[in-house]
Amino acid sequence: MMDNTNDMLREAVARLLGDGTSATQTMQLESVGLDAKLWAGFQELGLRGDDLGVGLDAKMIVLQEVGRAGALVPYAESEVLARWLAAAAGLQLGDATSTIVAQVIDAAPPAGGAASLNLQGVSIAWGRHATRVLVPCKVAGRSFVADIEPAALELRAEANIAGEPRDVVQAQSLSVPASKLHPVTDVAAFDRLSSLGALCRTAAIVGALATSLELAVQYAQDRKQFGKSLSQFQIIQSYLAEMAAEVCAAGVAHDLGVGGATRDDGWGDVAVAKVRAGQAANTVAKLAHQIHGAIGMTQEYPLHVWTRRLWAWREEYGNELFWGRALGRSLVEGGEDSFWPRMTSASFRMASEQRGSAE
Amino acid sequence: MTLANLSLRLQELEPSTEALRQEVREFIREEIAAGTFVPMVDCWVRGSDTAFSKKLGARGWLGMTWPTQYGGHGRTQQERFVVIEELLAAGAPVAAHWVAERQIGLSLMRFGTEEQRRAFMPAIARGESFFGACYSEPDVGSDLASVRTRATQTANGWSITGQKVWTSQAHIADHFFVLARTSTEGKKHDGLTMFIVPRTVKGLEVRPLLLLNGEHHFNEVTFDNVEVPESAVLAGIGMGWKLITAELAIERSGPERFLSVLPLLRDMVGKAASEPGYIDAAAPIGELVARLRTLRAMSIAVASEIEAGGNPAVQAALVKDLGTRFEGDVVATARALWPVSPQLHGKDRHADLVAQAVMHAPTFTLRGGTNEVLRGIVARALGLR
Repeated sequence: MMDNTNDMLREAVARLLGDGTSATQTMQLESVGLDAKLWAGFQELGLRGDDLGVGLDAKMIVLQEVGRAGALVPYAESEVLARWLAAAAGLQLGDATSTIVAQVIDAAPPAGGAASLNLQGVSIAWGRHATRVLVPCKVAGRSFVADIEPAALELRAEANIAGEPRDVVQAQSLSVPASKLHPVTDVAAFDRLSSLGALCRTAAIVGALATSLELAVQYAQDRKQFGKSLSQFQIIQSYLAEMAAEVCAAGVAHDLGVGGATRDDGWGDVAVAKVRAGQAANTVAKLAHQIHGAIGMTQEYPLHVWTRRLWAWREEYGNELFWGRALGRSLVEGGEDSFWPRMTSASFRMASEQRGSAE
Repeated sequence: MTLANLSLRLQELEPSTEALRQEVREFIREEIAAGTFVPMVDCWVRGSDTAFSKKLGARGWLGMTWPTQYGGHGRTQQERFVVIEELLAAGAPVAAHWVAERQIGLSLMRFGTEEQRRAFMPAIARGESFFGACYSEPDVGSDLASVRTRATQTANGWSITGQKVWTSQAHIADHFFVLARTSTEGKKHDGLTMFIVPRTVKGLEVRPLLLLNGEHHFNEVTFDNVEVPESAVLAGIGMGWKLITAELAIERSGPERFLSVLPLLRDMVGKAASEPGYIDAAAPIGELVARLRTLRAMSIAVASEIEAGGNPAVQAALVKDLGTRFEGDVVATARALWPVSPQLHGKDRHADLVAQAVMHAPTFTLRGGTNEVLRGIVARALGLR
């Protein structure tokens, strides 16, 4: 039943994106940093809001489609990450476009009822388009979510290499009144934030990988060199087969991660997913460009809409080195004898989870 | 373009398989403690131990998925998956029965007559009968449709003449599956037939094809006017290609395609743990783990799809391409992390495992269809040829 519902969701989102955006549109809107009309379409389709009754798995399907379409919308930050933090603090965000600070900030203890946050230099995805910015912070050892209006942050407009807003805070110090500091009851929510961000990027990568492969297959069939289609050259067939294997593997790894995160007992698989998707992004982007030749390197042809996303997303929320190291440390610390049992466990826990469950 | 056909649906192992897994682990612990075997790289090719196979048979761990009336145990594909992945991860000596248990039994089940099933399957499931697969030939390699070994009709059956190579375990096998040409007319794929040939026939000879490290796993098997009865034909005249392709789909996606070097990877984890500077090893090991965990999920997904009656031949090809390259990268990572003088049977366990792996690594991407052939299969599914 769940699968069926998710299939319907995927179709609906794909239709919205198919009608509402294109590579050309994404390119044209890059200077603005938001496809506002499309983002409003997400609202109309009921994809934005607090209590939509959709699970993490469903939201990851939406994100895959966003990646597949190369759409310029802040779905991951506004509808997954901000809602996650808001839920942990018992906040409602309504239909606001929201975003988060992706790291836990140590705040100075409240003086006169207000806490002081120093966010200078912090990057905030889609900040300029958000009406609310949620900041996970620690005040005197306790966890809070600070609910901030972006105007106070004095954001400088910047972007990642895919042209998505990654604005930087210029304000030196921020006074947050107690009424805007919401205590967090679920302490694990902060620990999971970077993993959840990694899962979001993985979902989007999986979508972008599929489109990159499709473009490469199409181009190889259309483009003729030395009297025959590129697709008739065995080496090109081999490249495309390798890309297809990577796309398939990244999809399976992502599904593993979604399972671990949804059950909240296997965050190790989220690390697996981000590493595997990053590896796939490397291979697929490289080979897609190799197959496309020089035209793929220009703005005349849309491949870059997806490859620039792959290159940006594989780094955000931890690249292969970051998560590979976390995975490796966790397994090495567990020792030789527990290595294989953990590989075969339905719930692949990180060391931190194991400690948590042992307590 | 059918990208959707190249995806795999994640399947979790039934929780009920856990007890079986623990049972296998306990068995392995006991066998290692008793000195039956030392965990080895590529155990499903190198570890030929008929007594060990018989022990597995007695435990009901061979022919698990076959019906009980043919000596099987009526268990699920997932249960078999659990048993074989545990044995492979342990580097246990499973080579003697590997081919018979993995593909011969299933072919008999799918294509054999009632008589053939009853004649061969129970003994394979007991770990008492071992088969060699005589498919490839010197001039054939991966291109099995070009098989030249001829079978000609006689008054009483068929007469087979030809030369087969790369037959693993032929030196201990009591029976062979022999792919031979029964017709040179029409499409070359249609002129192939599979025969079941006992070792005792006149005119059959087995000669070792020693590996570069001196190990004996492969053989050349020659057939000089070998006479077999009509009942030796499997699945009917001209059905050889269908049978081969069905076997390959099963053969290609199993966990042996990414677990051949698991004993080395486990050793690497132990080695890293024993060194204060293990932080250097963490990331490379973690990146391998991400691939391993994904490959395992893909392999389970393929096994589940086969169980559900599907034919995920393309995904199987893709899993093997990814899995065998992963195995090679485990060896490369071991070398990148620690200086080593690879040495077989030395005191240094790590150097021994590296030596075993280095001298087998090239076969990972050759056996069961080279990775180039596999990519051809995937390319065809992408509509490129």
